[in-house]
Amino acid sequence: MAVAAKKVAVTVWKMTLAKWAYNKSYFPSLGMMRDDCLYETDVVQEAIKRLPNNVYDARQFRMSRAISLSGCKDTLPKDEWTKLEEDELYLQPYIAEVERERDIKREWNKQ
Amino acid sequence: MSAKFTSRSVLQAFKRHVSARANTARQESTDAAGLQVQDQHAWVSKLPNGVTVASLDSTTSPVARVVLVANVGPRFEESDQLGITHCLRVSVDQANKSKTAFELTRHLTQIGANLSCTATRENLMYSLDCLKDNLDIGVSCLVSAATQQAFKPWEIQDCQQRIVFEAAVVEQQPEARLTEMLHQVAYRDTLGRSLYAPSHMFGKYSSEMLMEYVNKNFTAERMAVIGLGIGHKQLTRYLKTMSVPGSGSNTAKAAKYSGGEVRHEIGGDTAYAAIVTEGLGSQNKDAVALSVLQCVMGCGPTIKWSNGSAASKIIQAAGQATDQPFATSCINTTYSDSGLFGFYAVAQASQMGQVLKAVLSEFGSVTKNGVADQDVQKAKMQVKACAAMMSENGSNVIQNIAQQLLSEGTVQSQEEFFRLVDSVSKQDVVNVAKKVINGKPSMAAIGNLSTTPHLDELM
Repeated sequence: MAVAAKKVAVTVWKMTLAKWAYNKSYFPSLGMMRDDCLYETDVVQEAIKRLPNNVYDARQFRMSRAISLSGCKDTLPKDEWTKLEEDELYLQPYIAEVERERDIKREWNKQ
Repeated sequence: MSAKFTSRSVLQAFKRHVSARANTARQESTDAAGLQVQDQHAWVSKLPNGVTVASLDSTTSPVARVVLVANVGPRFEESDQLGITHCLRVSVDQANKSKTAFELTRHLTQIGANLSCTATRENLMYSLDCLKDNLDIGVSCLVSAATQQAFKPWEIQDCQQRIVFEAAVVEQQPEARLTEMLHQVAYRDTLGRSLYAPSHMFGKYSSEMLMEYVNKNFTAERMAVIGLGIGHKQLTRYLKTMSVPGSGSNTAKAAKYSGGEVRHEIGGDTAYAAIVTEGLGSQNKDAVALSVLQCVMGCGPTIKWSNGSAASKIIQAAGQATDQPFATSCINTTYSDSGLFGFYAVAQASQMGQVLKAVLSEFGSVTKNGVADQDVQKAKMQVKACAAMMSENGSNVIQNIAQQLLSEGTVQSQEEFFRLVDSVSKQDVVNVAKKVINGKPSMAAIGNLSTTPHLDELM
């Protein structure tokens, strides 16, 4: 499930650019992961419902911490920011499954 | 054979008694053993993955039935897994590894098939009924639902409501509760485990627990697939891609009968009670004689709405003890290695003591004075007629074959069974009566138990 574990052959300058762009994004400075910031469409909401309890609780914690930091117009100390290597796209498998189920339903209802 | 008061296990008693010990099959072909079952030819073979396959060709009906039976039931539950078979049964239509729940339902409705899961205390049967032309989709749905369960955590949570509902329905039926109580007091664990989930386990079944249970118990030697109305080669072809979730062999813990008494006071007008002793397993050579004895004692009225005293000795005896409504029937529940033999009685709360004493004395008189020849003849005819009538229904035939295949490894034909019944003599019946009726009793009682005696007051 950890997409970060997949090693993709990428040139060094691309990786540097990716890291720079990631660190320039606001959300890692609040300690969030990319999947915490996804806009909650129907599909994403259904995927969130299917998360295991520990993953869901961690997500809630990160979001609450980020909201309270943002309310004080503050960020985490630099060493606690989320790093690109640590960022896990935990929601993607569930989103893929929900979308697949919806496609199947749509196919069947076409007939 | 419609008793005024037919509980599930009375019918199951008849279903099971048809599977007495079988003789060996005639070898008709090199790769499959052929047997004559009724007027159809049954073929039995083993798949490469170790699962037994049997098929009966039936040319008259366009409906084909396939049953995948696994020797997995409440009998095999550990004490921290109570009711897990109930959960397995209600999650038959949930997503599996090859189809989502939606796909499974739509495939089945598209071909007009029925897929259901039935649980007995020893076996779990996944049955499919569909038209012969749609068997390829039907069997793939069946195999995926039975062997490739995915147990998605969010779907298991949704299933919990069904478990709560079914348990609540059973709670409302004193007869069903009586059966569960009776088994619990007779066997404690193994066969004493309830078919339904206990309330302390609602919501506690997790995906990992179910997966572990399936992987441990759904092994190839404990599974069989039976097809009715489908050719053997065709069935084997559909099952080629079937994979068995469990591996390794595990032997069942032998059912140990303990006996005892349990009572549950819930008030009301009626009292329900059952008193049994240990009966015989289906592989015991006297099992057929015990079925004959059951019909000698009486299984309820044979004419609907009659009071049944002409047909049943125990109804006659109880009818002399009370003039208020009652019902009583002899029960003979057979499992693979043990059974229960005795009777149920329902009566008005104030009459229960007399009814129970009258019926018990009838059982006692069989051991002391024997049985009459004409009673034995009548009982033998009833046993054969009941077996024949039950075999008119395809789903009964296939479930019966399924249970026989798993417990004995071969299937007994109806002619063979009739021959066994005919060979039962009066002495056999008396001997088996003495052996069984004089065993250690178990009693379960529920309802308004104000006049219901305790077991030590009755014996």
